[in-house]
Amino acid sequence: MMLGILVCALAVGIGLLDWISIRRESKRILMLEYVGFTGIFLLATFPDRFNALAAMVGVGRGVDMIIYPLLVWLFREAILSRVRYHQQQREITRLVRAIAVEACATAARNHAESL
Amino acid sequence: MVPRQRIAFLIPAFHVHPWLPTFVERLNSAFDRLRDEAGLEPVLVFVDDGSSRTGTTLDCHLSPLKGLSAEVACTRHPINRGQGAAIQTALEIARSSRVNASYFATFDSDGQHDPQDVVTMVSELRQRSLNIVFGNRFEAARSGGTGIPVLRWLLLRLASAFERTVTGLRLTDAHNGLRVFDRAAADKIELYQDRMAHATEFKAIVSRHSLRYGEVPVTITYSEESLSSGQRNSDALRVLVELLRGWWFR
Repeated sequence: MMLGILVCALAVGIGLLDWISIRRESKRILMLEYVGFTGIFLLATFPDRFNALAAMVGVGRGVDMIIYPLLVWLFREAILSRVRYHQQQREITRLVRAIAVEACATAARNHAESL
Repeated sequence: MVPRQRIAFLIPAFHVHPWLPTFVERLNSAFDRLRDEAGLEPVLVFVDDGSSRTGTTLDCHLSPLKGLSAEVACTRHPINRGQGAAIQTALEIARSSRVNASYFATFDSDGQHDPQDVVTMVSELRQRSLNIVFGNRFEAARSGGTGIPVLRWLLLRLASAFERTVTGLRLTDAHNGLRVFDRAAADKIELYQDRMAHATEFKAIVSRHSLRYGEVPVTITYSEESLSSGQRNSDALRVLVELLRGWWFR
């Protein structure tokens, strides 16, 4: 029970903090966050119902219904962020190279014009 | 009069000190031989890979570069991207209509290579109708050249065995920065590996496109500058990780 209250308090606290800090920048992100927090809030408030639901589905505890999908999502996110990182590195190199090649061509043009 | 074909020296530089007059003289002497013996006009493409340390920036290199008896094209990466990226930049400039080189030589900027070796490599490339020639430091070391530090010798041998397994190319020296190649090979080269693993990528490209390749004994001079600015022995593992990363996330 105590853990449930703590989890709810944490979700409400972070929700409030984000309401103050990011509501002007991205309302959609905030909405998504609140949907997730509501799920956590319900899970912490009615653990027995979620345990019963989990037993029906066959995943053990109610909290596992959140943890397993979360693990899948986190694993996917880790891989995708690595791929994105390498793509960005590649793009930075292309940009740096293009700047250097253009600078060299400009210097040559200026040199030719000064002759 | 038909203009001479050009050979572009592709020189990546990162945190290296400007060349001494003696090295500039050695380069000029090799340029003369390239003109006389191979009928090639040398062009130097110098790419500063975002050097920021005092005394190593592009401005500091301009004076010795002016002392060269060849046309020089120099540029600078605004931020450091690695030796592979700098070689690719130099290659793009050398392939452009401005330079339009027919032959290319990758050449480390820290003075560890002997410019005269390029003349021998060009001759070998042409005589044997090869697309690319790699430098091999082990032959010269065996016949009384500059000695290779023991740990580096061991790591290079291991790297060669690894590359032979991965690419199928029978080459002795895994990470020699001195290579000479023709236009057909240059048009195939698009380096993906920005940092040190580009040396293995060169061989993968040769294998993928079935280019004709060979090896020529070259001399490497291990000075304090070349040992500190070049690859460290501990970089071997990093190269392996870079290769695996490139393979997975390409």
